[in-house]
Amino acid sequence: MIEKDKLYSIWVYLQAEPLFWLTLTIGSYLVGDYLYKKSKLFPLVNPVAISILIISLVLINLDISYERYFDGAKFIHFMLGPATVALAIPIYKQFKLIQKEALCISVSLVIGSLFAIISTFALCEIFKIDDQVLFNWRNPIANCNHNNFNWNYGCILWNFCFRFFKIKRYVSTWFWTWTCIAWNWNCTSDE
Amino acid sequence: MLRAIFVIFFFQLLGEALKKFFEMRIPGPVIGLILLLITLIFLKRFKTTIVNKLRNDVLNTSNYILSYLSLLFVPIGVGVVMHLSYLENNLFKVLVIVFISTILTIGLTAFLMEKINKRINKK
Repeated sequence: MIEKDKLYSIWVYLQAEPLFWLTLTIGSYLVGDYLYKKSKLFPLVNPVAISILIISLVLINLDISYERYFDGAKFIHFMLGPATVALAIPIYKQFKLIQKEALCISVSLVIGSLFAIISTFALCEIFKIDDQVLFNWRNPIANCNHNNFNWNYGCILWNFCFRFFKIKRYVSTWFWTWTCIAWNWNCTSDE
Repeated sequence: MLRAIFVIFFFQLLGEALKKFFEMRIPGPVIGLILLLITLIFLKRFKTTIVNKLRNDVLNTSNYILSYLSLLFVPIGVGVVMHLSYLENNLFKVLVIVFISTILTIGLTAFLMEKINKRINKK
């Protein structure tokens, strides 16, 4: 039984450190990525969804609080800022194209993001969801990580929609970039 | 690599500082993005080796970071899942709302884009 005690003490030591949670996050993402490639890039086998599923199952089964997990995973989360800055590069590379189609991008994106806000609030009214419930859900997460959590909830739907509406591939690249920025703005504007 | 990371972090820092200074509501990284874009376009005129080297370094590193962009959303996503109990019995409703409004938004935006594009191309 000494062996078991020893293993337990190792676990107690490891779960208090960020390293374990970082390794778990990256590892589960790699599993998700592997499955995604195995499924020949089928949109529903989303690597993010799979890794979230794996990590949540681990956290729930081991009875670990989200705050403890996030204390380790915050290093990955931190990279979101630099990654946003790095989005300047695809825009820079496609700048000629963006200039050429500036009118249609700006009009459709402004209307699109306004519609996103309005339709969500309208649907909440129709389904009779109390605003307070949504804020209760959002706040503990937002407190940990600066408010941009619903940045890309539509990741899976994107692939379907683009196939459905037969949008050209190259259009989707910067289209996606700007929508990210617009959504990020929406989320932070009601701080 | 290290120099490129410095450049990217520096622009984000600049963005955060400007945001606080002017008390703007635009997030710091987005301001950094715009500044980096302006700088890159401005530096296009300079064709010295040092500038070229640094630019290529920034382009490669950024592409590397962006290729793992979705990994960066995992910690937040776990938070969403772990706090589902806050939704009480509204989980299904919220899922439906998110689904409908996302499809409508993407559909409308793509539709507008196609329409405007066609109209411009006709002229």
